[in-house]
Amino acid sequence: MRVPLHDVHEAAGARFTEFAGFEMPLQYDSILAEHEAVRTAAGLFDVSHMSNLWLEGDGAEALLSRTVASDPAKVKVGRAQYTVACREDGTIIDDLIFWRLADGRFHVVPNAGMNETFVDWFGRHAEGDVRVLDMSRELCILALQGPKARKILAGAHPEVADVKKFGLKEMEFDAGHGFVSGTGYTGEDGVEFVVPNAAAASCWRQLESVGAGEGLVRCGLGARDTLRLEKGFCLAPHEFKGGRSPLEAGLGWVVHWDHEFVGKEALEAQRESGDHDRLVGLKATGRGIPREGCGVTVDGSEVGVVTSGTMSPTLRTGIALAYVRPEAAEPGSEVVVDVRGRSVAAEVVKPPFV
Amino acid sequence: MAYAESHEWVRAEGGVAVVGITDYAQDSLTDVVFVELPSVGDVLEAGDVFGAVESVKSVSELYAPVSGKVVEVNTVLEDEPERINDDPYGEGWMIKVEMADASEVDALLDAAAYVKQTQGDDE
Repeated sequence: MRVPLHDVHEAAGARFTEFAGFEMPLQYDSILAEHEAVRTAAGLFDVSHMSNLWLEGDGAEALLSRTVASDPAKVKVGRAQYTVACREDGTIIDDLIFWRLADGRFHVVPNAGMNETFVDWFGRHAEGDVRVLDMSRELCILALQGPKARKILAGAHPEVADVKKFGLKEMEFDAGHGFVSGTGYTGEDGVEFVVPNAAAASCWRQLESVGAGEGLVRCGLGARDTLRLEKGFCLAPHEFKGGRSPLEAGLGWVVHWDHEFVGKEALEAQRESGDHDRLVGLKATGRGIPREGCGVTVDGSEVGVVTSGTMSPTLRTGIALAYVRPEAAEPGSEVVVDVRGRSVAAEVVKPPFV
Repeated sequence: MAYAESHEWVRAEGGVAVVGITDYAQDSLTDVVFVELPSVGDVLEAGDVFGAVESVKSVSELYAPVSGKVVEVNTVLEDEPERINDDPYGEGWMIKVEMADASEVDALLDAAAYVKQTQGDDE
């Protein structure tokens, strides 16, 4: 599948990669240059492969409350929240962000390729007056991220320039409604635009035009991955693969224990026992780049496995996320990563790396 | 200069082969962030994996185009792997091999044949 702005990216010289069934820009020029632009100026990402669902009706809040680990009752109109949806056994189906647009109206963004799963998931738990609409292929998501993002936003869309972090401001386009949100996946200040498909090209071009004077660079999924990894953010197909709970994944903080949700009992039991893997950061102290699947050992005994790894463009050293047994999870612990038969020394660190 | 199908190049300087990866290879990888090279004294057979070059997203093995003993390794690449992108045939050289059999170079591709092969790869 292709996103609506595919031809725009192709004309801009993007190299493409496959992700969740979508052909997406991996990089336009250099992943390292794109990464650096986001950390020092600004980057523009098309992440329209992500899923978009609308929950509408008097029963919408109760449905969301039942199906995610955080409590949407705590989220006011015009605010966003990051959370996870869990199975009965407490393992994560997906992480997602939702916004309360109004009472009885929520916008939910799970990961790419997860829309049908969530239509089913929400459908199964819906009670009373609630409609679940899959808007995934009607909407584009464009992310503007970096220290200069706010300045570019003010130049391109002054009327919504004061959108707060984790807040949202609705926007009207010729093609329909959208909104801008103070969210992102890079660890830098920035915003994301949710726009109807027909408005996406002009939105993209206008940001490029205003951003040109501020060092704005188009960025693909390659830089998106190095940026999120430097901050220790999870990427579902890596960190949730094989069935992981929010407690394992370091996402216990999203769980609100004072409401009922699918998976709560299993998570309470897991929290009681404490006997579960922990997702940790690893920073290579020797030469080498830990990669997904590499085994992690301490004194020759296997203690875990790497789920994501790369060369940190900012630190110029290998960094990774890995699940390890609790006894190996203490920051400062020394471990060894088996990188294709070579032992690479690494240190457990608490993310963010940068 | 001679080329392997696996995108290494060889430049024979007397009995010593200088080895690196081609411009086509570095362009495909884009940013090289890490290189794993053998040690001086290592003995290679043509076709052996002698190391690996890593970009942000990928790991590519390096294959010895000729047999012989490694007599020099470009250790600058440890701190500046980007030289492979910037100057693949010059400062991006990787290893020098004292050839066991200089005629092995004749079995490699010439420039025209290598370019033709890469065009085939692009299709």
